[in-house]
Amino acid sequence: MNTNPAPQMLGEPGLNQEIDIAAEIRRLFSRATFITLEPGMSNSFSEGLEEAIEKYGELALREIQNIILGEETAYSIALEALKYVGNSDSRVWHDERRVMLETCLRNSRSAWVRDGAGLGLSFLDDPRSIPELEQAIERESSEALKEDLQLVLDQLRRTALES
Amino acid sequence: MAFLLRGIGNKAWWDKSRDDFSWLGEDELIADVLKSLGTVDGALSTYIIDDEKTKVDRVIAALASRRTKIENFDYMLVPIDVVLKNFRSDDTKGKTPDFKVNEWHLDIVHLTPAKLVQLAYILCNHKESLSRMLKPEVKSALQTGKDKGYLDMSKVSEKVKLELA
Repeated sequence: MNTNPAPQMLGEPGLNQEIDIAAEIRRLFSRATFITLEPGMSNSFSEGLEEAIEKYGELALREIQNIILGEETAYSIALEALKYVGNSDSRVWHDERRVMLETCLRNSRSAWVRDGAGLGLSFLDDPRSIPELEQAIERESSEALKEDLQLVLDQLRRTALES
Repeated sequence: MAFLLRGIGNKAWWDKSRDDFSWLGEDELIADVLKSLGTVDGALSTYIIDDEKTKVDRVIAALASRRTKIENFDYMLVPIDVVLKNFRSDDTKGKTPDFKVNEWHLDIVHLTPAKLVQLAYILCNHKESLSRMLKPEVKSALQTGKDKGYLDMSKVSEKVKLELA
């Protein structure tokens, strides 16, 4: 059963709503340039992204993905954004978050983005990401990132054994 | 040989093997590494770790307990003698919720912008390890800190406390 809340409507439904959400997410990313994104510390960027995902679900996640895969933001901001997507206190939109993180892991040309996606998946701790991680490790050209992704894979395999 | 532990934000900054910054020369570091060397009054905070590295988990728990959320912890270990040969230090107490960890604190002091850059290269070229502890291990280290009474829980953020049993 889908327990996700229905996405809230902004203005006119349909295309206009998507444009509003896209603009809101883009504003958050552009303001993030002026914030110190300290790991493990909440900030207006992390809180804004979480609020947008909770309210608009898949639409917000798709826009975040477009910005990151379109390389429209700095790698370091993309990396932190992907961590925020995975490290949520809320379980809403869990599957959509997982699919979005897996898409970034699979399709990004940036090692930083792939690192952020791997960390996001480690926070979700969902063993269904194991096949994606196995493939990502096989493809990975950076030896250091390969090791980091292997840590995530080992974690998810432990979770699978425990559950 | 003892080591100095420094939390480094994200180890990606220090990892020259990643392909995003191919414009960097072989001996160069991206300027972003300086973000993980935040100084206060010209001092950089580090923690002394024993040869067997038995204190690593406890130091990480102490540092992670000051965050507002539990997540991965990236850090670097560097031989202490390499740093002390080149820089002055001061054994001021740390400010974590673990009083014992605070005794293992060491400030690298009298840092100017030029000296900080020099330090960044020394850390990078002589590092014993560039490591990452994932969230479940950080949470487990925090839980141990709580259960064994190492952490003064009144100084730990509410969100972190909520995630612990």
